[in-house]
Amino acid sequence: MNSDSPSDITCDHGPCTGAASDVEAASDVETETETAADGGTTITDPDDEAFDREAFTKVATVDEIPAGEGEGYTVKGIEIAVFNLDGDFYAISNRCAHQRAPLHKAGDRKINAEDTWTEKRGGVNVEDCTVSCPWHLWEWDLETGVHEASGKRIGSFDCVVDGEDVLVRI
Amino acid sequence: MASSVKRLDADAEVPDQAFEDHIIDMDFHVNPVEDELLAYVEDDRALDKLTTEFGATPVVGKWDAAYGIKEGQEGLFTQGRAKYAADVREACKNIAVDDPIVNPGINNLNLQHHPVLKNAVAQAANDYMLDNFVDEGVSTSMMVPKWDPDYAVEEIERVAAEDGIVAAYSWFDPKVPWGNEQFDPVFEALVEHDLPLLLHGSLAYWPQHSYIGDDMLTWTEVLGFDWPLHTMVNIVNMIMRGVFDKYPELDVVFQEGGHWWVPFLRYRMDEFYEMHPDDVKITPRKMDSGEEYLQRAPSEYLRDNIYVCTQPFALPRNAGHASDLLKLSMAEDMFIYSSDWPHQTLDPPTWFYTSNAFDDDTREAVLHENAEEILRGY
Ligand code: FES
Repeated sequence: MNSDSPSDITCDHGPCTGAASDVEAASDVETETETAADGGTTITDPDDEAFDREAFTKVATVDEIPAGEGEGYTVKGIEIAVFNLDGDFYAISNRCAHQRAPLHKAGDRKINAEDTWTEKRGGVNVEDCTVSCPWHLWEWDLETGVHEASGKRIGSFDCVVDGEDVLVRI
Repeated sequence: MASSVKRLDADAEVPDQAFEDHIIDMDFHVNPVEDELLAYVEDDRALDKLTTEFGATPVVGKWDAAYGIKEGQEGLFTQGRAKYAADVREACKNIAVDDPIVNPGINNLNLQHHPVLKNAVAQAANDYMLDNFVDEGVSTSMMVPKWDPDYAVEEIERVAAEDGIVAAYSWFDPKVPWGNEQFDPVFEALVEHDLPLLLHGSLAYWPQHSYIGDDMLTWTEVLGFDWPLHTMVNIVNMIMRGVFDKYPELDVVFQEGGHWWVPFLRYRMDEFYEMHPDDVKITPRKMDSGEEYLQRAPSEYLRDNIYVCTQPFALPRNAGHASDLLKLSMAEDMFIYSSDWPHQTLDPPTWFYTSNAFDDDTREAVLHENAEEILRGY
């Protein structure tokens, strides 16, 4: 009744790909670029002397958000989702602009996942630095908060790791 | 600083108020795995053929959804796969659905070739649902084989008396529309058992092997517009051919056929009928009854006998526009909430709480009252 032979293109989550090292390498490059671009207005490197830790809020320690997953928080009354892309952390609004699904649930394991074609409801894509929504799979750019097909944009926030702490600037 | 941070609830996915309201979901799909489904086939000869290497439903439909989303064929199981009652309860807990009306979502069965084998799968599907859902206290819509009205009646007589069967589930498609008189025995059986007929889009019958169908290359055209077109065709066919004059108690729910076309149908049917009523008397049911005209204005059947599921709702963002459209579409009389879990066009009940378009009466009507009016035992 159902084919159970997912092709390569149905399996585009980081953990599912067979090319993990390529994926990580691409992600590193993108993260450095982002930090450099942001550096003009906000110092996001905790090792930089000018880094203003008071402007950031600690939301978690790194081990509390497993690689490839997200967690949701309210920070100063704002709902955000923080994702761990193989050690790089990103924070965006937790509410999908389509129908307000909580984005931190992206990547949750499906009910009876073993009998479906992919394991998870939406999830992060490390190579593209995106998260797809758990409800209808709109794909959000984690750096810019943009959904390319619709042009809609949700909030994205500076997110840095300082030692073991994941910090977000709202 | 730490006190301003709160970790979010891991489970609730919709606004808090949704958990306070009573919500009936008219379209919740269950998908048994094939081995477990076929274990219920009673006829050994049919079972023997259903278990060849081709599987139980070997004819594939076009599945353009696979090209429309990055996860490809995950359009079918985007949220997961419910096999048993516990799975359904787990899924409903997060989206605030209190009362899912489950159906055996084998929506490609209609497309298959062999009527005897199809009937065997329908029998197995109904027995699977009785064992795994009705007996577990989950309200169920039984499968009604459209391709064989005699067997449909037989199956209704066999299954419908079970408590927990609250509706009948079949499909609309571009083949014989439901206004055809061959379905009268089915309507009679449904009315006798007080079951509404839920007609779902069938992925089997997306237009294919036709000029128009073969040139539909996007999911937006195929699912977004082909299904509503065939829904409209079926509804007008049933109304104009006198189904509801013969069976005024029959309630029909169209699932995934859209809903914002209701104003168009409502005004256009009346306009055309009132201007050209003279051919109604030569439709077969009217030939039998000797009546000249419909007993009511076409739009009145739409309001009284037809219901439409709301998923995907696609509510206008402007609350004023949305509210006007709800009124023009007779939402308070016709709309019934559905999630379509687990498919990619899932509609959790968010619209009702994120838009000012709904007054309390309309929200309650759509979320549970209209469903309660027609489901057996509610
Ligand atoms: S709510 Fe996020 S894609 Fe629909």
